[in-house]
Amino acid sequence: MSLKNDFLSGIIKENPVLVLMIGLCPTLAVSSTAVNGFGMGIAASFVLVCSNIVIAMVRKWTPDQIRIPIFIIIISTFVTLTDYVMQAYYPALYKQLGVFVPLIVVNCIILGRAEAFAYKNGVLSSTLDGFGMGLGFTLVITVIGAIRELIGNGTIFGKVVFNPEFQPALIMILPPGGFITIGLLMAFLHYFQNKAKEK
Amino acid sequence: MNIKQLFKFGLILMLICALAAGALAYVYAKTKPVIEERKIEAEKEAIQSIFPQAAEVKIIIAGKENYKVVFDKDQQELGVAMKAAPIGYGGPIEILVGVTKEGQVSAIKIMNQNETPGLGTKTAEPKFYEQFAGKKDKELALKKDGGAIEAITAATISSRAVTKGVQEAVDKVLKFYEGQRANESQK
Repeated sequence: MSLKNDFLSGIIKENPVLVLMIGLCPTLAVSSTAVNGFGMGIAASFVLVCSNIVIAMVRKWTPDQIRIPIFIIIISTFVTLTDYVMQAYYPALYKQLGVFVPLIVVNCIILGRAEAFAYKNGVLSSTLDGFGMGLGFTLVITVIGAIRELIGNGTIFGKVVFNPEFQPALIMILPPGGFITIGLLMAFLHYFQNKAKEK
Repeated sequence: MNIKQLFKFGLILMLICALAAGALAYVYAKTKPVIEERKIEAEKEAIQSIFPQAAEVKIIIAGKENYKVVFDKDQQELGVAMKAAPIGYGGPIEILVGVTKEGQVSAIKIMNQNETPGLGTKTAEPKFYEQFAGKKDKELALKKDGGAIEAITAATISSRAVTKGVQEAVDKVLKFYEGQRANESQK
């Protein structure tokens, strides 16, 4: 039951972006289209799962006083590895995401989960937490991307949805659109969570 | 914190750094040749898109610049593939310009840009960049500047930047050919 919880809590109840409100910077920057959001989500999730596993493994030998530099070394190593592998074997994806890959290193979800979860829990729990949080992040950033792309460009995942007369609201794919969408999503989620509590 | 602890921490950090460095070095060595190959391939493809008959590229160094002279399969000289990076609205716009011996643009390709999504990014759409094919001299300017290139609505800065980049590339290639001719006549 608790293992299941480790996995599920990241998706809605403790969604990193909408509830914990960490990792907002990449969420805002890379969610101008659904594809970009999805790619960023997957890449960050991969790093998150890997770093969670390794940190849970070495936590017994990690002295409290130097845990942060150790986390950072582990995370940045995985980010750089992802960068090389993607560049070599997934050039199409790299062309889309190349500039965002180094940004994964500053995604606070990863350091946040290392500190708040992986450092205190076992390997299995930490892996599941990584997957759950990664999924929650990917879900939100893709949804935001889809909304912004739909209204701001009239397409979804690159496919044209509206007829040509549709005038896209350009503001939605510019930075302000990211703030507007993320704010509305947070409001919706909290509204439904409060309603569920009342019952 | 006593000395003993200090050494212990240093040792642990060193161990972890060494492991990380080892892993990185291994993957770097594995992926580097593949990445290099991809880059060469991408450049070949780019040259192919501005000179469809391209079969061979010779690099000639003149002055400080590298000139990529493109030949077709019968060793006929097609022109020069020239890179340009004019400053647009959101930083440099990298373009590859195909210029013939006569200083005519064969085609251009936008390689990399950071313009405003939905406005300046339209410079990378065929509707805009295909206008450059076959143009030369004074035609290489926006219509509102007396040329023959239709600017993108609400993205004049980006359109003007691309046009200026193409113009400069053409000028450079013309100078290059002038230099080559001068060299030949000296011989």
